[in-house]
Parts: sequence; structure tokens; C-alpha cells
Amino acid sequence: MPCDCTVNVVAISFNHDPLSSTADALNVRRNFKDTIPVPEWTAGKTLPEESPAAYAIAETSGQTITIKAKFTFSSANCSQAEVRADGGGILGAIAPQTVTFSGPVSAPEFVPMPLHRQIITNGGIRVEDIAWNWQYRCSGEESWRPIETTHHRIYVVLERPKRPWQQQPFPNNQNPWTDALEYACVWACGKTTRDDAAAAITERVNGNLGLTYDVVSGAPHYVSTDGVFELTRFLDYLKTGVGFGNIVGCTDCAAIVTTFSNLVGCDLHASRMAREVVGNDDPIGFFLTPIKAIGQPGFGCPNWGCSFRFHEVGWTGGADDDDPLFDACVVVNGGSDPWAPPYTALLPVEIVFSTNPGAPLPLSVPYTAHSYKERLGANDAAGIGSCQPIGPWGNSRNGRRLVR
Amino acid sequence: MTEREGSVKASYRFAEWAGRTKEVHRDIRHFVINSNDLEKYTLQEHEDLPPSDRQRRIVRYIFNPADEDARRRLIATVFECHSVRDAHETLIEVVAHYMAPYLPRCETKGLEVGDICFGGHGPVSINVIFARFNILIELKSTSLDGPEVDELARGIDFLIVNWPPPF
Repeated sequence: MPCDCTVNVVAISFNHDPLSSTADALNVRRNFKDTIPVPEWTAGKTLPEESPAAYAIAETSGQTITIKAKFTFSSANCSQAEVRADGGGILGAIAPQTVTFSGPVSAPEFVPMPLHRQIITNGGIRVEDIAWNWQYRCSGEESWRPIETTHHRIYVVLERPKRPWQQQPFPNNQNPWTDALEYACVWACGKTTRDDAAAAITERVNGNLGLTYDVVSGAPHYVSTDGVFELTRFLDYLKTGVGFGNIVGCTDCAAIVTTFSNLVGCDLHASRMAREVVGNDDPIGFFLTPIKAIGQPGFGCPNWGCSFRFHEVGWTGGADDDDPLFDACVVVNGGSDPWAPPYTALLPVEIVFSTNPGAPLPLSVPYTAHSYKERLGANDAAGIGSCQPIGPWGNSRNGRRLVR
Repeated sequence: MTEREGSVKASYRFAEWAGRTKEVHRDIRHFVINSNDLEKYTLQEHEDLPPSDRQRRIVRYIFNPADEDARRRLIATVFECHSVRDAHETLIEVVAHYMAPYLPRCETKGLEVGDICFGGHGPVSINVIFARFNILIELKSTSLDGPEVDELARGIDFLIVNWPPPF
């Protein structure tokens, strides 16, 4: 005689092991202020964004990922039922599994359920809303009965996010924010390598967010004097157009590119270039060739003229001459004569700082190297010759600014 | 002082004005801006920021002109420093983070506030930084189209000058 029973799913935990990011979801939070309670889904939640989870491709590759689900049960004559879930998108359907009950609750309370059909590693960075259609059948039954459909938002990043983002301790306000993943996973959607992801984010920051360069002073607007990136304010700008407004300096652009890229697994840091200082001399920085600053209509120079006291970008490696960088603040002239019209727009993504830092100046044309500082600086000792890597700001946590 | 800080001081001619302003010993304490202090501005928010060794307190205020869209904001950061000298040193630390090698003195742009004041380059006044006594004020607009900062700068400077004793 078949068992007669009723099963309900009441909670689903994605990040069930905060010490691991290989077999379950990453440690994340909503934003600076708000945590995301685990289990992420509980009965009554109907919107996918109410039940978020994030996975890292590199760390989960080849691993068996599990969720843990809690069920309730009622029956007069049995203590087991089979449970499964159709759908699931990138997390896949959940195969039929026998669940044992101790009284009205599953035993163990949270039942491990392997995601054998997940395809997290296929397709690169993304954000996807998934739905599981949960079903059950009591012992001896042939047909499945519906429980309910649960909705979840799944973020996929390349690797465990790099600093400033951190997995431990948890919870901590520097754990990855889903409010920021919401943008980063769209900006870098489909990218499968660090460089491609950072390039996509740089392109988005430069061209699609309505940001415009601070032509009157080059001041930072989203990085405070304590060296912290005001990400909450910047997210408000992205969401509502308010925040601290659309004016940015290079420090802001470097912080934005670094923070969002590292959130999806890149390893950038914000670092500077400037004229080497000797004693208390009076450097005016280094001279520029005409550039197209973020949000500006064409090539030219800031209101103060063709020079920067310093410039800051998202940089890889040790921020040396041969390390590629990503600059959302400035478009340079990519033509064969970077120091004269016509101007060929080149957004500096994955471009080394200098392919030949010791070359005698002025450089000759045609100049064809895919090299950054030669396309940024004036073609003389006060320009290219005065633009040297000088490392990150002292209060910037090695160029990986804390977020607030 | 690092060589780089020294070079910033050189380009701002720090030695000509640092610690040499009027009432150099005046020490304003517990300076705050209340919501009804500046009648032409609505105070939307304020928050404390972590001070460094040179400051007792840093407070960031967000205003918008009372008769304008609330999205048009002005950000005022108030550094209450331990001394006039610390305010001047803080000014240098702040402008060292600006990409412009040098900012023009405010009086060249028709703005007379503070003991020492620098503004942005260009016809629209969207950025100003000034020190009055031991208080440093950094004002930024949130759009290149304004609102402009001059009138708010004058209002805050007036509040500092008239801050009641004891200092």
C-alpha cells in the first residue's frame, strides 16, 4: 500500500559552507550595510533577487557543487519521500533523491543535494535568474506531485573575487556585494578570461555610464581622503543618476575599474604614473599629447592645459613598464603619429605601459607600437620622458581600495 | 614630508602662506553646519569620515540649492584640524590627489573666502577648497553644469568666521 504524504520545501541554502567556495556558493552580502542571510531562500520569497548566490568558475570547476534544502513533511504511515526539481538554468535540474524525515522535518534538517547537471563553467561571467519546479512523490507512488517553484538569482564570476573583496572573515562589509555584482556580471557578460573581463568593464565605464572628466581640477569624486572608494554612492549614481554625480577624475576611474574587475576575478590594482620627483622641485607633472578624456566630445586637453600632476589607472602585475594596464579615464591617439592629428581613438585596455621605456626622445613616426605612455605623453623629455610608474597611493591598500 | 608632498607644496607656493594667515592661533572647535544655517540650501545628508592625525573630525555634508531639483547636489567636506598649520597641510594633502598640477587662487576668479583658497580652472565654479583658521573646506559640485559652489562657500565661510566662542 503506497504511503500517503505531503512534502514542502521551506528553505534552500546555497552558501552552506562559509569556509569553502569550491563545493558551494561564495560568501556574499547585499551591500555595505546589508547581509544576505543563509539560507538564502526561505518560504515566502518569490523574487529571484531575494535569493541570490554567486559561484566562481575556477574554484568550482571539476567539483561537485551542492545546495542544501530543508523540507517539511506530514504522513500517517511513512517517513520517506522522493524529491526532485526540474529547471534550474545554469544550476541544472536536481535529480530524484530520497529524503528521510524525522517527524515533520527532513533529517538531516538541511539535506545535501548535488547539482550534477550544473553548467556554471560554460559561458563565462554572467547573471541568470533560475527557477526550480520542486516535486515529490511518496514511497510507492509512481507519479510526481508539485510542491512549488522557487526563484533565485545566480551570479557567475571567473575566480574568487580579489581584494578589496574578501571571503574571510564572513560576514564582513568587504565580502562581495551583490549590488555590485549586478553591474559587473552584466558589463563583463560572457567573458572567460581576466583580460577580456577587465577590458569589457573598462569599455563600459568609459563609454556607457554617463561619466565625464573633471576638466577643472581632475579631483577625485568617489574616492575619499581616507583612501576609500565610495561604492555605495557610486552604485546610487548607477541606479538613480544621483550619488556624487557624474564627474570623475582618474583616481575614480581606476578605482571603479579595479573594484568591479576584481569582483569578477581579475587581479588589478590602481596605480600611478608621474614625473619622478627630485628634492622639492616644482614639477608640473608631465606634459600630454591631446587626449579624449572620459565624457568629452573630442581630443584636447583639460582646462588647465596639456599636463597631469599624475595619472592613475587599473594596472596588472607590479605596475612596471611591461605590465598591461586598463584606463577608463582617457582615450589616446592610436594612430601612427600619436602626437598630431588625425586622432584615432584607442581606449587603453590590456596595453603595456611602455614597450621601449629607454628609447631616445623624440620618437620618430610612424610609431606603431601598442604602448601606452608614448601615446599619452608629449613626444619629448617633459612628456614621455617624465611619465614613470610610481606605484599606488599610500592610503589605497596597495591600489585595492576598501569599499564603503 | 615626502619629496612628492614637497613638490606639491612648491607648486602651490606653500611657504608663502602656510601658517601666516590672519588669526593664526584661532582654534575653532566642534564646528557643525545645521540644517537651517544656510537658508538658500537644503541639507540632505551628513556623515562623519575617519580623520587622520591632522584632524579632530571630518564631516561630509550634502546640500542642494533650495529652489532646485534635489538631484543637483553640492558636496562639502569639513576638516576640523588641530591647528591652522594642520589645516594648511591638509589642504596640500587634498590637492595632491588632484590631477591638475596647480589650481588658481580664488581671488583671481572673484571669490573671496577663507584665509587661503583655490578654485578650479575654467569659467564654471564647480570646485573650491579653502582654509579659514583651523577649518578646511572642500566643496564640489556633482555636475559640470553646476550648481556652482561660490555662494555656498561664502555661506560656510561666514559660519566659520562667526562661530561663537569658546573656540
